[in-house]
Amino acid sequence: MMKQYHIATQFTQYPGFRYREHSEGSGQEFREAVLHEIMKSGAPVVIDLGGTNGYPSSFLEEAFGGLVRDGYSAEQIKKIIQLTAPADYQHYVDMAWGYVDKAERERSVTH
Amino acid sequence: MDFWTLGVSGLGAFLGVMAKEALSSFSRGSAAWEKARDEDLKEICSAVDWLRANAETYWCSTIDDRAGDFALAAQITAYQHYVGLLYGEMFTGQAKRDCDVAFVKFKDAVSGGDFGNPDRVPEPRRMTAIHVTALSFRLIAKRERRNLRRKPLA
Repeated sequence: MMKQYHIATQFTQYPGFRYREHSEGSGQEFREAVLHEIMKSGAPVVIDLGGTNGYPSSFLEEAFGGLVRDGYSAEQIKKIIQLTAPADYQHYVDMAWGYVDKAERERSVTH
Repeated sequence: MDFWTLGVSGLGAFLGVMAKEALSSFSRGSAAWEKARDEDLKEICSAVDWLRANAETYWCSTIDDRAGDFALAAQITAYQHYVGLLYGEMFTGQAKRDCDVAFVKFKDAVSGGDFGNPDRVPEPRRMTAIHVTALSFRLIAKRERRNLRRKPLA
């Protein structure tokens, strides 16, 4: 069975903004403390986005788009991380993957 | 008129009244359901308008005006989440997907970039994006509301 990670109960119920210096539970903190560990372990994990009090776009962009800027490809990320959410949180899943793809496009333009 | 004729005609009248009442009650229930959906749509539109106005205040403020910044950012985050929940209850299937796509663009314009950063700078392109994506989302939500199957006798 795949490992599960529930942001609302294991990270924060109140996701913050982009950077650590501007809020607790930021996208940067989530990426560095959680996503990097998952990516390093290489074992697939299902991350559940449900149950929080919403996500600012800047949180999602920094957390997921930031992984690409840290050197992971969209393909590697999608191989290891699966995102899930209840129906009324589904747009957050779309946003997170959208930011991964956008960061990948931007990276391929600059390289 | 004998007893049986009287009984049967009384029963007929009673059933007629009951059927009319049942139909009327069903119709009132359907109308109330449709009204609730219309109210939800109004609530979505007014929340989107609130977000448009306050996102403008948020992004165009100068550094000296940013004392209540975190409170406004928290309100914006909460309103965005609320809109997502509202339309998530109203639409399913392709209608919800279409709303999701439009809403993600709106959300990204409102709370992407340096949202939450006290040193952010006003971005003219973001202001345009906020208004354009807000109006697009409203348009799609209204269209999908019109496309929802109406309850009979509403």
